[in-house]
Amino acid sequence: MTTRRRLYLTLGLGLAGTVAWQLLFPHPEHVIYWFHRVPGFDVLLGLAGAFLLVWLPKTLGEYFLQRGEDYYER
Amino acid sequence: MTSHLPALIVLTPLVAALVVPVLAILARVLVRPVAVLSLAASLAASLASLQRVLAEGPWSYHFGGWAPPWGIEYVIDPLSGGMAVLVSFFALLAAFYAPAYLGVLAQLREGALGSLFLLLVAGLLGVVVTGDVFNLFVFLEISSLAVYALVAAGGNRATVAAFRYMLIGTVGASFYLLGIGYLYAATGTLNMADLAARLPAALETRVAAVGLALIAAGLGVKVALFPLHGWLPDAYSTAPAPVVAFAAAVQTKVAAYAFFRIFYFVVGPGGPVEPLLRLVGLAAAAGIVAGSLLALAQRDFWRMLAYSSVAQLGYVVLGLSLGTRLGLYGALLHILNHALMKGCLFMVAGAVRWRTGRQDIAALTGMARKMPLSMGALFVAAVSMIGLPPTGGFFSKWYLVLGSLEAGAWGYVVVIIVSSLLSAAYFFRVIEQVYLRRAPAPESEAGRKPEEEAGREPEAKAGREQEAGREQEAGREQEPEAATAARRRPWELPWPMLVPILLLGAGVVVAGLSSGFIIREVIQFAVPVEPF
Amino acid sequence: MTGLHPALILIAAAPLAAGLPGPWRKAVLLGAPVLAVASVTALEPGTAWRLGFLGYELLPLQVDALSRVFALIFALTAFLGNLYALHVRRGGEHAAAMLYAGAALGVVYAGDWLTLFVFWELLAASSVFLIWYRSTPGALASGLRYLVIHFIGGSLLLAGVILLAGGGDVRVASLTGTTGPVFWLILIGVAVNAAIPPLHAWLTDSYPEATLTGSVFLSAFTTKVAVYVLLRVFPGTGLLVWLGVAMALYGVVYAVLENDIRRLLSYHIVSQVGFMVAGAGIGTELALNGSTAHAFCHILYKALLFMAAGTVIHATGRHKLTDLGGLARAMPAALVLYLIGALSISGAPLFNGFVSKSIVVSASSKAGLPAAELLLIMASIGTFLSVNLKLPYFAFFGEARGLDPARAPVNKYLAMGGAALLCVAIGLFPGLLYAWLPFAMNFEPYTVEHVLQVVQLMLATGLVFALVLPKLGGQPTITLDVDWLYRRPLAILLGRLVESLRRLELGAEAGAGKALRAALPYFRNPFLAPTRLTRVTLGPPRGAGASAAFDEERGGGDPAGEGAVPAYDENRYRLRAGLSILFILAFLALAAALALGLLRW
Repeated sequence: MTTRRRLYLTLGLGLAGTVAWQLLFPHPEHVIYWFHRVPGFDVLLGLAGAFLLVWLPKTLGEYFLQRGEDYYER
Repeated sequence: MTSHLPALIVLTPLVAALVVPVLAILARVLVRPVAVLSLAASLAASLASLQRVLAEGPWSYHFGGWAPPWGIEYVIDPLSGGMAVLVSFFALLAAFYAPAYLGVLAQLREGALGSLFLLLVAGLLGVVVTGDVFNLFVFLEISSLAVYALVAAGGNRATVAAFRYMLIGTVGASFYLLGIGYLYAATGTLNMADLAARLPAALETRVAAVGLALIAAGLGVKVALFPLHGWLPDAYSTAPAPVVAFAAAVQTKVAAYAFFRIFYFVVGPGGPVEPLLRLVGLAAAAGIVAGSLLALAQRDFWRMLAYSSVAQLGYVVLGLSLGTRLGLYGALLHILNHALMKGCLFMVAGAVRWRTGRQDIAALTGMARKMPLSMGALFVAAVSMIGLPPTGGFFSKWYLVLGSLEAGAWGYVVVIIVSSLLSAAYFFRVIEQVYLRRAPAPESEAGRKPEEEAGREPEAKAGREQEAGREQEAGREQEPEAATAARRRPWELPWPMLVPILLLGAGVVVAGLSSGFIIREVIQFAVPVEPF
Repeated sequence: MTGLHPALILIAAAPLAAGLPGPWRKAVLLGAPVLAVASVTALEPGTAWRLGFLGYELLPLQVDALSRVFALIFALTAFLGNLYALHVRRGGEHAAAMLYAGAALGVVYAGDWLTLFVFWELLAASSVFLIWYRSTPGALASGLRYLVIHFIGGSLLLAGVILLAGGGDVRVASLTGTTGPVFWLILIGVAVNAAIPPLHAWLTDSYPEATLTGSVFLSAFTTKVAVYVLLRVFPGTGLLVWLGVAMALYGVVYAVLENDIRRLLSYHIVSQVGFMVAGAGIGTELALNGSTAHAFCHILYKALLFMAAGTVIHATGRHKLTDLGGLARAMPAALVLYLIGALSISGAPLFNGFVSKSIVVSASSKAGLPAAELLLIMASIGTFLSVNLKLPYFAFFGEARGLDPARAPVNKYLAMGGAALLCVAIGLFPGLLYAWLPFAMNFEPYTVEHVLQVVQLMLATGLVFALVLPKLGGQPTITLDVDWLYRRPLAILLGRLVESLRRLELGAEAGAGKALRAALPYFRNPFLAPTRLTRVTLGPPRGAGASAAFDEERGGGDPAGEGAVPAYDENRYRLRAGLSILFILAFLALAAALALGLLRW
C-alpha cells in the first residue's frame, strides 16, 4: 500500500476512534451550545474549515491579490 | 559697576566692535581674545541682571541718567534678561566656532568679520534690553546691516542672497519704523512704558490701528513669517556656517521677542490687536505646513534646515498669537529649545561642509563612522526637532498643543501634529543617510547581489547561488570592519568646533528634562500676568 | 533587587553591549536580562515610585499582577533573544535590541501616561534599527515606512494623552465605556502597534525584512506591549472582540498564500494577536487571563519559530518556500525545534499553546459568544494548516533542491532549545503559568473532551492537507495587502502637494507680472488711459508670447508625466525677491484692513 493510502487510513481510523470515544463517553456538564453536544462535530468543522481556508485564500489571491515579485520595484 | 549692568550688556560688544578693526592692524593677536572677552563680559552681565531681576523685580535703567520719556531707558525683566542670556551665550559659542571654521579667511579678514559679528551681537542685545521703541529700531537695523554683510562673506551665491535679504529686510524695517512713527503721532511718546500708559486711549483711532498693522508686517518680515520668509532659505544656505548657526538660533527669535514685547506689553488687548493676532496666527500655521512640505522637497541639507526653520519659527509665532498662558509658555520654551536645536544642527552642517566641502544631504552618507560625536549630536537635535521625549522639542510642542486647546483652536493642534510627522519624514531621511548607508566601496558592491531569482534553476547553479546567498547572510550578521581611511587627526573636528556642538547637543536633552524648572523659575515670570 | 527598575537595567546595559569587546559583551548580553528577570520576580505587587514633573504626578514604576507577568516574559525573551544573537558582531544591533526590550518593560511598568508615552516612542525608535541594520534596499525602505506608521500612531496616542492630561489626572486607568476623542485617539494609537487590520501592514511588510536575529525581538515586543495596554485600558470593549476575531482569520487567510517563510510567520503574529485582542474585548476575568496567558505563550513559541526560520535562512541563504526543500536530513535539530514551536502555536496538547488558547476559546463560549468561539477555532485550523503543515512540509520535506546548509553557531540551538523547553514545560505543567496570571484561575485545560476536540481538528485538517497538497506549494508571487494604499498612491500625492505649492507661487508671480506690465503704460502717460482701456478690453490679449518666454525662463511648464516628481532644482522653490515684497505689501494691506475694522473674520 502506498504511503499516501497508509496516511489516509491512519488518519481516518484516528478520526473514527475519537468519534467513537465521544459517543461512548458523553460529557453533559460542559455543554453550553448545541454544537458542544454533537459527537464528531469538530471533525466536520476541521474538514469544512480546512477546505474553506484553502479555497478562500486561493480564490482571493488568484483574482485580486497576487502579483509578481517585482511589483513594487516597477 | 553693578548698577550699570544693563548698559554693559550692550556696550561691551559695541565698544569691542569699534576697537577690533584697529587692533587687527596694530596687534592682530589681540583680536580674538578681545572679542571673546567682551562677549563673556556681556554674558556675565546678562546673567547677573537676570538673577537680580528674578529676585527683586524689573529693573529700569536710565541711560546717561536722563529720565524717560526724553532719555533712553533700558528695562530688564525676566523676559529680556532671559533673552539677553540666550543671545550672549550663543554669541560666545559662535565666537569659538567661527575662527576654527573660517581658517585662512579668518586670518585675513579677522578685523572686519569680528567687528561685524560684535556689531550684530550688540544690535541684538540692544533690541532685547531696550525700553524705547525707536531705540529698538536702531538696534534692529544695526544687527540687520551687520548680518547682511556677514552673510555676504560666504562667497558668490551668498552675495546675491545677502542682497535679496537686504532688500526684503529693509522693507520690513521701514514698515516697522513707519509703524512706530504712527504710534508716536497718536500718543506723542516713544518710550514703551509710556506708550503702554497712553495707548489704550488711542487704540480706537485709525492711526494707531494702521501703525500696529505696519509693525506687525515689519516684524513679520524679520521673524520670517510666511509668506514674508523669502529671504531666509537663500541666506541660510549660502552664508558661512557660524553666521547661519548664530542667526538661525538667535536673530529671528529676537524679532519674535520684539513682537511679543510690543503686542503684549506695550499694547495689550484692545480693538485692532485681536484680529491682527489671528491673522498672524493663521500665517504662522500656513508657514508651519508650507515650511515642512518644502523642507521635504530639498536635497540640499542647508536649505532643508532653512525651510525647517521657517516652520519652527511658525511654532513660536503661533504660540505668541494664541494669547493663552500655556501657549505663551510653549512659545518661549520653543525659543530656547529651537535655538539649541537649530544652532546645533547648523554647526554640525558647517562641520560637514568644512570637512567635505559639500552641503547636500548625500554628503552625509556614512558620516557616522567618520564623525561619530557630531553625528550623535545631530541625531539628538533631529530627535528634538521631531518632538520626541525626553528632548526639549517635545515639551515645547506639548505646551503649544495645550495652549491651542485652551484657546479652542483645534485646527492648530492638527497642524502641529501633522508638521511633526513631516519633520519626522525629512529628518529620518537624514538619519538614514548618516547611519545606515555606506559610502559606496568596492567590497560592498559585491555583497549587494540579489539573492532571489525567479523560475527554476538547474541543480548545479542552485548550489553556487545558495553559497553566495549564505555568504551574504553570514556577511550581514558578522559585519566586517570596513576599511576606514586613517584618521587625519585624533578628534574628528578641531575642538573649538566640536565643543560647542556637543554642548548644544547635550543642552537639548538637559533643557528637555529641566523644562519644569525653566518654566517655574524664569518663564512664568516672563509672561504678563493676564494674557488675553 | 527591589529597588531596581528592570527597564533601566536593560537600557543602561545597552551602551555597554554596544561598546564592550567580545567576552565582556557576551557577559553583558546574558547577564543583564538575568538581572532583569531577578528584578521582576523581586518586585512585589503594589510597589510604586512617584515623581513630580511639570505639575503632574508621575508613576514611573507601578507593579501589579498584570504588569508582573508581562514583565517576566519580556525579560525572559530578552535573555533568549540575546542568546540567539550572541554571535552578532555589530554592537549597534545589540544596543537596539536591549533598548527595545527595556522600552517594553518601561511601558509595562508605567503607571502614568507620560512615562508610558516616552517608552512607547522609544519602542518604535529602537526597533526600527533592527530592521534597518539588515542594509538591503528593501529593508531600508521598509524600515522607513515602519517608522512613519509608528510615528503616526504615536502622534495619535500623544494627542489622546495630551487631551487626557488637560483634565489633570494622568494615571493609566481603564477607559472602557467612555466615548469621546480621548478614547478613540488612544485606541487607534494602540491599535497601530497591535497590528489590528487595516493598520497591520507595517508588520507583515517589515518583519520579514529585518535582521535574522532582530525578527526574534520584533515578534515578541511591539504587539504584546500593545496587547498589555489594551488589557489594562480597554478591557471589555465589545468592538475588540470582533476586531480580534477578524484579525485572527485575516492572518491565516493571507498566510496560505505566502511564499516568504518569515512573512508567513508574520501573518500568524497578526492572527494570534487577534486571539489576545478578542480576549481583551470579552473582558471577563477568564478572558483577560486567557489573553495574558496567550501572550505569554505566544512570545515563547513565536520566538522559537522565528529563531528556527532564521537558522534556516542563515544556513541556506534562502527565505522562500519555492527555493527550499529537503532539509530534513541536513538540519534535523532545526526541524524538531521548529515542530515544537509549530505544535505549540497550533495548540496541540502537551504544548503551551494548548493551555493558553483554550482559555480564550472557552471564555468566549462562557461569555455567550458562540460565533466568536467557532471563528476562533477556525483560525486555529488555519494556523495548524500553514505553520504546522505547509511550512515544514515544503521547507524541510518536499522536493530536494540540492541545498547544502552550513552549520549554525551553537548559541542559536541553545536559545531555541531553551524556548522549546519552556514551551513543553508550560504545556505539561500549566500551573506554572497560571500562578502568575492576574486573576485567580480554576480552569482545567486537560479535559478529555478538550483533548479529543483538538485531536479531531488536527487530524481532519491533516486529512485535507494531504488531499490538496499539490495546490498548497509556494508560488513566486507576493500578495497585496493594505500597504498598497500608501506604497503606490501616497508618494505621488506628496509630490503633487509640493508641486502645487510651487504652481501657486508661479501663478502668483505670473499674475503679478502680467498686471504690472499691463499697468505700466498708464504710468507713462495717464492721459492715454481711456483710449488704451478700450483697446485692451476689446482687442486680443497682448503678451501671450512674452509670458511663454517668461515661463521657459523659470524652468519649464508642467513636468512630463502624470505622477512624476520633477528633478530637484533649487530654483524651483525659491521665492523671488520682488514677489516677496509683493507678499509683504499684500500682508500689510490685509493687516491694515483687519486692524481698521474694514474686514471682519
